[in-house]
Amino acid sequence: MRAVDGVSLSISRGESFGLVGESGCGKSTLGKLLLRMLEPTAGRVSYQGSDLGLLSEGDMKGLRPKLQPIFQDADGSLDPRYTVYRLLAEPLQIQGMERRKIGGMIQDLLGRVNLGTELLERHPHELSGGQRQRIGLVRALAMKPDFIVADEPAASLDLSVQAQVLDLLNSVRERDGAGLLYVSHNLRMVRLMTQRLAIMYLGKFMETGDTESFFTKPMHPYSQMLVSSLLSLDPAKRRARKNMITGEPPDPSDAPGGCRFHPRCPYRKPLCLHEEPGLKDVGNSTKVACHLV
Amino acid sequence: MRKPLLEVKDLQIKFETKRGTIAVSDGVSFAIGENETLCLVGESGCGKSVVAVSIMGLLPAHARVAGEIRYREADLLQCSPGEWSRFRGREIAMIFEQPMSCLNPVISAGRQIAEAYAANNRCSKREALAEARRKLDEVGIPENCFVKFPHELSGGMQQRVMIAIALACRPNLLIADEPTAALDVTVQCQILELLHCLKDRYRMSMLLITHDLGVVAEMADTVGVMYAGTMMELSGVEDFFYRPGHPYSRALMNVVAGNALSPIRGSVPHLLEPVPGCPFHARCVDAVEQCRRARPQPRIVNGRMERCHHFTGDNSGRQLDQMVSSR
Amino acid sequence: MPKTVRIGAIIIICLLVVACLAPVLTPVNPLAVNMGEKLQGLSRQHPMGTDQLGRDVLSRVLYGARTSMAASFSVVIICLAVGIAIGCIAGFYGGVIDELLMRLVDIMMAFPPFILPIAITGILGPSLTNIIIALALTSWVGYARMVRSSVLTLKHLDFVAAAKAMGSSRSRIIREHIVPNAVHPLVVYAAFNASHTILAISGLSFIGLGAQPPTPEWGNMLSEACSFMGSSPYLFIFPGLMIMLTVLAFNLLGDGLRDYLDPRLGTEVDL
Repeated sequence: MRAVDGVSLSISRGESFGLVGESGCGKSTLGKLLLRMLEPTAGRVSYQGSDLGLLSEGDMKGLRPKLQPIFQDADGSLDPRYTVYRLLAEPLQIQGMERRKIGGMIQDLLGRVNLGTELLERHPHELSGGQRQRIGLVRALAMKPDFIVADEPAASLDLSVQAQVLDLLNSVRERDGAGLLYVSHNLRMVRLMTQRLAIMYLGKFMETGDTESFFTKPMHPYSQMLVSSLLSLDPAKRRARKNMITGEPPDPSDAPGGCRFHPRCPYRKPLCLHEEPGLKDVGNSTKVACHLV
Repeated sequence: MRKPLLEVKDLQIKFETKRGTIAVSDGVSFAIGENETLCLVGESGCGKSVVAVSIMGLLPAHARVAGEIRYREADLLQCSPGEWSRFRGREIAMIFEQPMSCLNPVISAGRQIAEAYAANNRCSKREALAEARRKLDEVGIPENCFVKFPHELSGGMQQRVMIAIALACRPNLLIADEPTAALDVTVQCQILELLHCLKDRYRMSMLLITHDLGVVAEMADTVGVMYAGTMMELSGVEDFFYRPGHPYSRALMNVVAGNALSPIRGSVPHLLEPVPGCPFHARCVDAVEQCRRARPQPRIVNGRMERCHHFTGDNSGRQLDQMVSSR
Repeated sequence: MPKTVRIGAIIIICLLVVACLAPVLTPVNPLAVNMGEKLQGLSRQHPMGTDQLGRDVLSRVLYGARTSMAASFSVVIICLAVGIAIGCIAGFYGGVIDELLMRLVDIMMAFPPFILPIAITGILGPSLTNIIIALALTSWVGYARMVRSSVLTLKHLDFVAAAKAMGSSRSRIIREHIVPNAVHPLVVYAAFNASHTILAISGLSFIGLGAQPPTPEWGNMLSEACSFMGSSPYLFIFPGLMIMLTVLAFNLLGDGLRDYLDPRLGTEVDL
């Protein structure tokens, strides 16, 4: 099974790149590959010009702090037996910070996410979901990462808290100039969070390009399907979408031949059944993998 | 207004726990008319699911309930457990967020629907199976899934099976608790569309619980906004989206409809530590001294209920039409 | 802390104190034979009476605590050390090492738990030390399996991935994140295993394979009391009660710890 298949992308400093797709499309796998939390079968991941795949375990260990993941489930990413203090002290210790400076640094960090020092002695299960996610976030930020992969960082949070976490993520990107890969299926948030994005389907990019132009003019039939699934907030427009959502997210272990999207595509032609389209530049910095574009 | 199908009046639900009594629902009132959809919106722990479960009569034993839940002529809270169980399934049915945990993993999809039908109708096994096939077709499940087991179906298909089971006995009221929260966006649209169609076909009423304002805009006739166990606002869907009244509703709307991220400060209060005054005051941009001291009482103006000291019925200057329609 | 943990812990601490201070607490030598005072009932001088050789039953019961506690603690400590080491190695490194170690565990599991001690004492001769070796040999596999399965789950959890992403070394991850989380469920298992070991030692001593007379041990006290069951029931009642009390204490402790040590239990209010 190919979870990610022939994907190329580059993210520069301070840039936020969105990765959108339905469950099982390989978007989380791609995120892990970029951080070398998984080894690719073939292909290359370069960070500042050096090929991560060629680095030794020891060199990689030195680089890891610069490449940080932010997990969807903050509960699982925090050791349940650690207190908030130990959770935040750990990355600082690994970086070799002096013991007496750690306390002050932790206060700083908590302040950045609007959390008080009264939490220091609490365990993760004694925190609310939003607090946990902010601790997870600030722990990643303690390492001053250059590149962050945030995999659905707000999906498990309440609406009113989601914006807080995302806002924080955004400010870090802007202030510290970190690159961000934002993995999500929430199109509304992707629109607010990213400048460029890629639409993934069964391990392949279907469309990549500018976020704003994607939402105003999606090119790929799958992109159009996704954008039309975005529920309007205007009750007068309810059920107005053309009935173009067909089929279900496919089983990644059983990808069809030809264009992967053809079983669900309303516009498919005989060609689509046999030949897989590559990404074509269609101008406006947009690339689309479709025979019909 | 037509005579409501379900009327909930001043519902109070308290849980006795080791760490004290918590009020998960405090003075919740609403009514659902025939063929009408009411959406309960709120964040986790605001008590919206508990309200739904209380209508089904499935609250845990340590819950203390007061108030009135009137279904047609009957006050459900006065019913004996036996009488109440006769409403379940036949009159009121419920679907949940995680269909997989509600389906029996060792019985095929078709047989589960047939069983639900047979449980409330006198019929032969053959009739029940035939009915199950019809239901399966009605909810858009392919014929070959009849013999499949729940784990062989996708999340969307599982939810369709749940809907088929819930509708097996043609209930008049369907309670749906976050029916699409666990699904992909494209599948969510399909399920919502299905619920729309079924609701019209059977002239059902629906109580839909969600945290997603997109779902509300898509489905609701009336919107109830809950916060920390209290109903903060109850208004028609147009009012809610075009002229959101309560500061909490406006803040929520800002989060989803704004052109930039607009966080709401603070976090949801814990029910074990009740806040004096208005439960939202610590996070409210318009909070004044009165909000910190006194709990606002529900006020109704022009068919719209709000629990806010600032509410006078005049919504000028609060319009968000432009913001909503610009997206 | 749950009440059960407290009660269990208090009983066990009392037993440990008794075991340590047995020579001080008992004025009479438990081995001192006095045929003139044999099979005397309860009296002020001998609160639990005397046995068929005139030895003070109270002293023997208290010294018995020494034997039982020492034996069961030795077994549990050996098992913990071996089990954690082997379980961690198998779980964390996986592959061939895991395969080999787990087959070894399977082989050990294939021996019926009571037959192996009998066979070992058959070869090495009946003695308390040999029984400890035999019980440790059969019990460590449970510990190893448990640690391995926790390690397998833990190493795929996000917090281990997060630690890796921080640049933590492999040994730090094992030491700081995996072992502490894997060991806690083991404490519960160890408490139950201790109670099981006490029963096994008494049982094996009862059939003459464990502690050898005249060593005071509850199991062989019971077996000696058999012949006098009708005439002097106190001879088996007191050692029997002690076995029961000790096993109960360990079970209470295990049960309570299970609830207490799970940091997530009992804190969330389920709505």
